[in-house]
Amino acid sequence: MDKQLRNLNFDDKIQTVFSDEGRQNVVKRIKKLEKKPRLKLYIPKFVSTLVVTGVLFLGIVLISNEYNSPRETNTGSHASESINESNSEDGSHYSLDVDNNKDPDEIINGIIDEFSKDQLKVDAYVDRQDSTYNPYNYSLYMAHLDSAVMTGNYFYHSAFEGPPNTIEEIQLYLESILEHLNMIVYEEESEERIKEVIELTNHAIERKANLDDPIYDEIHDILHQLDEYYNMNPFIDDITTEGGAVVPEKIRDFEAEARESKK
Amino acid sequence: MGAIEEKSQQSLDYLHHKPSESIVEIMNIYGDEIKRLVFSYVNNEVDAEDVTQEVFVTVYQKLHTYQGDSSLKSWIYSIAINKSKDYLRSWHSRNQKLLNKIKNSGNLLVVSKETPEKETIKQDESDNLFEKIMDLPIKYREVIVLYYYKELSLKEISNILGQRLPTIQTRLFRARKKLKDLLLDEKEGYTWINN
Repeated sequence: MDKQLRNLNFDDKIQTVFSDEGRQNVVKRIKKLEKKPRLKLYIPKFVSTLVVTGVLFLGIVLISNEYNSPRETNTGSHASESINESNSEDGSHYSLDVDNNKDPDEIINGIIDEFSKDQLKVDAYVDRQDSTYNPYNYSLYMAHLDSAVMTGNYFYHSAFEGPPNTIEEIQLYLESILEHLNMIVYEEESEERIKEVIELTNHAIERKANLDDPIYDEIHDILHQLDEYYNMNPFIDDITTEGGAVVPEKIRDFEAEARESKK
Repeated sequence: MGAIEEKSQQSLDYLHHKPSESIVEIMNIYGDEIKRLVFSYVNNEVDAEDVTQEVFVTVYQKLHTYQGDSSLKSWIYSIAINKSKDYLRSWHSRNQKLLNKIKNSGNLLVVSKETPEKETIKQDESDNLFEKIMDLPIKYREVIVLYYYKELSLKEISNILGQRLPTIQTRLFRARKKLKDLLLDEKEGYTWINN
């Protein structure tokens, strides 16, 4: 069998050749393939260009953010510092946590209210010589001023407008006092005194008391005491001297002290 | 035969740097030979032409991977054999085989109407042997073709086909025995239509 196989001219039996057409087809297909790699060469270049552009753009965005963010951060940090300072001064604690479900205006107003109330807080007694003494009780100052006008203890104001004459004007002053007192956050000592003056003011509004009613002097006395107690710079009442002159209370006190010293 | 067949660094550089020119030369050298090899597998002129084109396109695409570990001829042979087997596994090839089987159904074993003497007169003995080789199953046919007609050593065949050397030796032994049986059957008046 081996000899038979060796004697067979196998290739002669397969009378076939690889045609010229077949060779041309191969060359055509190769040329097509050669074009594709060129495209493949351009694709990485295009992709790398795109990546570099993207990175540059990202860099520019990041740098611009870097320029903007410190200002925002500083503003924010200053704000928070000032809040913290006021916190540390009056010893209060509050939260500015924002509820995302709330209306933005509502949130802002809430923050303002919270901030304002904190500034107006009447807290425990701090020695007046202490620089940390609360200087912010503007509402207490204004409530005292209003009551001083009503009781004839604010001359200059009275000279221009005069004390309230009608019930409506009195009511406006009383409502103003009430509004200022409601702005105050009070706690610990003097809480009862503030509650008392608020109660008296409400009572005066209900009674529609005339200006000569002693309830106004009572309101003024309490506010005067609280203002002097809590504020570093309280409202100074005007008073009429024995000679008929209207002077600030401090001058009268000074004159009284002078007379006392002469004696 | 040019420098392209030499296993030198110069020829490798030429193959790697000028693949388009190289493939034209390769086709000139091995074109007919590869087509005959492919034909020995697919046993069809048209399919052999298509598969041969595929072979040379693949050679061009993979030319940069050729490192000269084997002869260029062996390397191209292995591509041609793999492509031919891929074709035989393809749906098209299977469909063709099935159609041929349907056409010849019922004639699996037929008694020759002609006497062996007449048959011998009609057909040359070598033609008969060729037909019997082409009727062998692929795994036997390929070792016969590669060993006897492509002048490859058993070791080379083992490398090209990715089979162990003893396996190739066994296959060659069995292929020869099967051929002998087929030829004897024919002398006795029986013809196996399908392999």
